[in-house]
Amino acid sequence: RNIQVFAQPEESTSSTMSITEEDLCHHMKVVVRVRPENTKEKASGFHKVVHVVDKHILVFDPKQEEIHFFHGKKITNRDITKRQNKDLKFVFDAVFDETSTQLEVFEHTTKPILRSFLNGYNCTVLAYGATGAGKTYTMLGSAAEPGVMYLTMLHLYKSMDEIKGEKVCSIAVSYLEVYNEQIRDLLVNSGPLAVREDAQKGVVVQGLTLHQPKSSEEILQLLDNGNKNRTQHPTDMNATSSRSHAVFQIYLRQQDKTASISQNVRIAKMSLIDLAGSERASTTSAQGIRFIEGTNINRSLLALGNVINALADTKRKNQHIPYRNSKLTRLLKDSFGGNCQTIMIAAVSPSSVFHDDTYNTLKYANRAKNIKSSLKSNVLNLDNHITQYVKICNEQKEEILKLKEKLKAYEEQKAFTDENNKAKLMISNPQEKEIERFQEILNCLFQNREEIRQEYLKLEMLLKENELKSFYQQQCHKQIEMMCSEDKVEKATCKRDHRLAMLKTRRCYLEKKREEELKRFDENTNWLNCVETEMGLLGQNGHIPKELSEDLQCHHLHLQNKDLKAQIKHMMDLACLQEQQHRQNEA
Amino acid sequence: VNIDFETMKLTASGRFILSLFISRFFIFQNNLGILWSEREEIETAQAYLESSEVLYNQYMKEIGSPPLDPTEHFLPEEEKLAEQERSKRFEKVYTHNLYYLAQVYQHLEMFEKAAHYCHSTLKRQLEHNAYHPIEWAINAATLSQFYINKLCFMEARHCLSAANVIFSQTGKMPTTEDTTEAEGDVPELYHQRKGEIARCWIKYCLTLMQNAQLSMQDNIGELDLDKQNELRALRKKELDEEESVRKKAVQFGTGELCDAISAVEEKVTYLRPLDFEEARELFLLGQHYVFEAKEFFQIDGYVTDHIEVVQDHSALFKVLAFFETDMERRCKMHKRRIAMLEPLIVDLNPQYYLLVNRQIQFEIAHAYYDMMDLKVAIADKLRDPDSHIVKKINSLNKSALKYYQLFLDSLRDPNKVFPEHIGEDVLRPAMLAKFRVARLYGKIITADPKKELENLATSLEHYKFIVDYCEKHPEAAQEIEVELELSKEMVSLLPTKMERFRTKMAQT
Repeated sequence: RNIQVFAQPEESTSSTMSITEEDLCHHMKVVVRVRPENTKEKASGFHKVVHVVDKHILVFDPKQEEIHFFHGKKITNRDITKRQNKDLKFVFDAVFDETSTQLEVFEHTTKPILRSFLNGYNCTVLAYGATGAGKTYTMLGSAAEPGVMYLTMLHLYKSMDEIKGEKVCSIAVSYLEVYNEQIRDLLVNSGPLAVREDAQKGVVVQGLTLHQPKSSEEILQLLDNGNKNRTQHPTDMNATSSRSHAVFQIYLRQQDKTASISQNVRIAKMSLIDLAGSERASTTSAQGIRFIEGTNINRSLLALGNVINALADTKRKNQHIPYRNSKLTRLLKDSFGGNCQTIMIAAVSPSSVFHDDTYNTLKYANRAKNIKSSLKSNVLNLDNHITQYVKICNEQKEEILKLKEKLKAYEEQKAFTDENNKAKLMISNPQEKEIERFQEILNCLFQNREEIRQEYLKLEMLLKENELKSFYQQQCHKQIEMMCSEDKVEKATCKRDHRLAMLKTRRCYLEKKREEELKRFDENTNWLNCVETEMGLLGQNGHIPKELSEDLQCHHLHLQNKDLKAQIKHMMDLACLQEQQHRQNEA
Repeated sequence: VNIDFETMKLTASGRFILSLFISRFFIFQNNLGILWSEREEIETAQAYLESSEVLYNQYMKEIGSPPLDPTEHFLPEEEKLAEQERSKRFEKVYTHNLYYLAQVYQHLEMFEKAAHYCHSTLKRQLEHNAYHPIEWAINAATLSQFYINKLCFMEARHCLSAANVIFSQTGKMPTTEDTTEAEGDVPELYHQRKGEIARCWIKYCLTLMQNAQLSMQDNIGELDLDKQNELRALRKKELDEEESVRKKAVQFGTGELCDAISAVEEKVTYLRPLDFEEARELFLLGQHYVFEAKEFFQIDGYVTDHIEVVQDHSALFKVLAFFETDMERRCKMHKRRIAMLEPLIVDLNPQYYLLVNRQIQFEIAHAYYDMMDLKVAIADKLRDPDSHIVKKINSLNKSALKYYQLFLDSLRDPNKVFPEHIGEDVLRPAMLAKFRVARLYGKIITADPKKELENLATSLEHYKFIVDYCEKHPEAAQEIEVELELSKEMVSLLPTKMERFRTKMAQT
């Protein structure tokens, strides 16, 4: 990055910088594509400044003594712009060399994230680089070699076809351009569009048209039409270069085919972005502006804002940095704020003509790669709570201390009683143990017994209720017979019979259940008898030991108590029912 | 190049020669600086630009009158520039020099120096009446954010006050020849910029208050009276030094403009608030700007910005609560925070606003947690806490739990499955949420021993999750060292506690 001598009218670098550096999410993957040298570069004998080592590594500006030796001509060429070889090694998620095909790039960039896209995540693919480095070629391609945008759509249709059985999918695309801080629809003729954030729908470009291409030919047609509408500013570097950002967005809506109450709808958005050239204007033919600098202080100092912004930008939470060129940033806000997947394709030229641009692009891409780690702390603003943690931790420690003390006391006590027990054990160890065992058995038995009783009483109550209801039905019917016309009576009879039948089946069911409960109760009683005799054997002269008999009595009383309580409750319920009925009758 | 000013200024011809070439030399050096910076040799550029600055200062000191403009050499005598115009041109070159230096220092990561030169550039723009008010105001406001981070609150206040004054000139000033095309959509941009400046002010108030809190709190985040008294004693010294500090700083504007800026400055303190009253002043100012910012950054159309402003508002309340001594009133402040945050996430689509959603969930949960803590403290002071306050505490507990749970649920994948492996970006928050949930379950007040046992079991489950997760993913352990330690202890202690509880239950 260089000193900004004058304001760039279509300031491109800073807007791309501001998205990628501030807002990018954590899943950023960075790949680099090196384009082949073009005929002009080959012909004029520039040397190559990028050397691709393998699929992940490239060296920028490698040392090249031997080459000098064999191609003496180049030395003279180099003298003009003589500088030291930087010989820098860069590592990226993937590096594509000059021979790589569009399909290869697609396979390793967009294709892997298509799965996330189908799972309902937003995805973004950015192409970054200087004009003429091959961004547009990578994204759009030519008719013979369609680019990532087209291949993505093609693959998407294929995937949709595969899940056709389970899901209803629909697709819509939009294509827009951000040029000079204005958004235009590329698929129809439109004026500048406004962008706004909606709480439900995310970022919305008002008035942007959505299209639903049915076939791959249609997509190609759409892209082609859109590109014709792009604002093109050919420079002498590259005839198709542009100073506008092109944003192609795909919306995918999926719905489960199985009809269910909760309609499971998934909507995801994929943005494929061809960013404007990142080069400095000074190396293109825009030289003339430079002379304004001396006389027009206002213009040249417009860029002061960028410097100040950069100053304040230290990724601190506690500051507000007003944004400058904000349209693209705003447009992509929701792509970065959620669970999204982002890939950056940095395009570079291998030729020494582009030495600076390539270097800047690589440096930038390298920084973008590191965003992952630096963003971690930004995800949640937790720093402010640090003191709170100390507090919580202190409390927690206290609690732990208390628990430990208690535990210690408990263990000491236990040790003490254990010793006591041991002392006792010397005398009546077996009996003590037996009594404990029986106590447990009794506990178990009575718990069981209680449950059965409760269930039984409940069933009794339900039966009573049933009986009452049948009675009320009859009574009610009599009243109707007395008061109403014949056809009405007939209808009522029908209804009554139906209800009675229902009540009857229910009664049968309840009776059966009651029988079962009775049986269980009897079983339980048997058990209890057995246990009692056994306990009798334990004591002297067939008497149950005192502790156990007390226990037994306690259990019995407890059970009775519970029974009575339940009965009271049931009586209340029935009384309620009766009262209700009476009131109805009176009414 | 060393210029021997001493000898040259003695003779008239020497002065003439100096005047002839000084200006060219100045521009030449500047351009060299730019050239070198473009070749990525920032140090070389720095050297040229710095020597250029020295040259200017020396020249102005020794000679004073502006040199001839380079173009003048080619003009006939009668067309030569007036002294004033000549001076203007020369000064402009110097302004550029400062501006380039600002950039060079920034690239060299000498941020203080860069800020100083930005500041000077802004000042010179004012002096030469060569600025666009909105643009200038935004620049000054943004520069204040740098000062805030450096805790230079006096400078920050100066920038912000100047931004306010200059911004209010918009519309009053006749547009200069080259500003007209710069801003196409004036009304919207005007309001947006107004909102932005307001947001810079909010950050000023917030940071100043938070900074005060930081310097006055004890290790558990409560007001430390000793520290407060220490700062009070220091205050006198600060006030004494005010003049000298002010003199050192670069001041914008002269005369009327200077007075206008001072008028704004006087209403705002640049000193850290030391008690509730002082904090309240700042809070009210911050709140005023919150309302101003919200006028432009409405939820409908500016979702993320709006939410950021509301979050700041909530933060203002939070830091104000620190200064408040009355616990009931503190509770009310947290309640206000919740009241402003809760409605935000109701309509927010988590697919697009996942991050803010999570932030808000966490913040609400935390506010509930704080409220619960306060209520517990209040209940502790009561002689016999009634069922009402117990109910309140439990309901706050439940709400805090709910929001932590919401946050944890947001980590689930589209098929609602909790991830086997938690992404590193949310690992710490997720673990903290688990830890808090565990604690909250342990803090539910209930008379029912069965329920109590249940709560303890749930609490244990969450502690266990943390311990198990860290065992499976050792890299997670370093993220939450302290909490992990505590969780481990709880995992070993809770079962015994529960066991005892059970035996006690069986006995009764």
